[in-house]
Amino acid sequence: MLDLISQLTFFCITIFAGFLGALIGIGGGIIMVPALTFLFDLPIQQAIAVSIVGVVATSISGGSSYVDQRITNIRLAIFLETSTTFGAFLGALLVVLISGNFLYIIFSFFALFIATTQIFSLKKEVKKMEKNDFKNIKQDRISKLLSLGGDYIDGNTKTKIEYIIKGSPIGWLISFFAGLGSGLLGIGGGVFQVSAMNIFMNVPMKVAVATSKFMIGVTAATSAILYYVSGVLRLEYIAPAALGVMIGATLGTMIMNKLKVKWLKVIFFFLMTYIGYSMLGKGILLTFGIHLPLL
Amino acid sequence: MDINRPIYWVLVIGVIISAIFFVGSFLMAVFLPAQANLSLSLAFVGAGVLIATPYVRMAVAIGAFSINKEYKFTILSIIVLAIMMVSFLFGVFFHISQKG
Repeated sequence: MLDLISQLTFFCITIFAGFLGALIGIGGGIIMVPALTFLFDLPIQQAIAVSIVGVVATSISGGSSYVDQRITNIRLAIFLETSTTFGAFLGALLVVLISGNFLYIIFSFFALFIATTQIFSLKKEVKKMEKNDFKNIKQDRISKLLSLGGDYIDGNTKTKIEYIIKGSPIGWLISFFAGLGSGLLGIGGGVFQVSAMNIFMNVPMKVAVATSKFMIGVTAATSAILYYVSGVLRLEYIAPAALGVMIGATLGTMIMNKLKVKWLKVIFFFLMTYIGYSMLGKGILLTFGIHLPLL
Repeated sequence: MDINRPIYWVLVIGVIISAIFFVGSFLMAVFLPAQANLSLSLAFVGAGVLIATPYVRMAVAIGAFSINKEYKFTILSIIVLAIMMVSFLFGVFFHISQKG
């Protein structure tokens, strides 16, 4: 069993992971996995198993709060879940067949590309919110067929933002790759999910964050159940992990809608750059045996 | 019917029930370290409730969309739940587990 100090340390780390995850719509595995491997010396497989249960916890606690605040677009979530769960399933099957080493490099470039796009689209997003321009676009056929769109009240500007969804096929495809990535590499699809919606589908940032938060529970639960039945879960870490992320996610959801969109995008940019760089480092290390600095 | 409500309640109930088990497990670990097995059992049940919640959420979505006569979304929800179940069965039978 863990001693009290270790329990409390891990508890505090997971509160932070839950908080950040709720702010930008990600699972928080990017914080929990390194903490468990570096601070608690857990093997990577067990660290991922504990973290993925934490991701389910953060998704249902944070996700419920955003559903209550009416920011989440449930219909869009279900449309994208068809591809992301399929991707995750395929990824889990492919794990036994192919080596994921070079995939880290491909995903890292994609992450860095998205980080750059997020920072360059910052002004455009703010302008679109001011002019309520999210509804003045041409809807694609699938989006029209499923009547994908919606509105939410922005807690910062106190305005109602209406939006229509475009680019459903490309969003669906990116969502598939987000699932594939999480199935193959164990990396949370959350960051790619938020970007698929925000950059390619005309979904306002806050709706993308809330909808991604809601969605990741499904992919995470699909993986978590495998760890659960195979008995690799380190149960002594589960209670502090789940309780910590639940508290953190609840705090995060209380302030997310009040923040300025530009700050959310800036936080997202820094995190995405870090994720891209660490994946690149891991890919280069595994493929060429070269260590990148600061990793 | 407002689709948000039933889904919201599934998530909230999932959080509350699992949190009760986790708090129990956490308190046992801190105050009664001799009862380690009981603490781990509570964590195991809590994790089970937690992991089952997204499955229940999809099942409730299927019901809610069909009551609303939004059949396109009923079908999409069935597809998602089916993939989740197939993935789980594959995992159990072929021992597929994600690597790090």
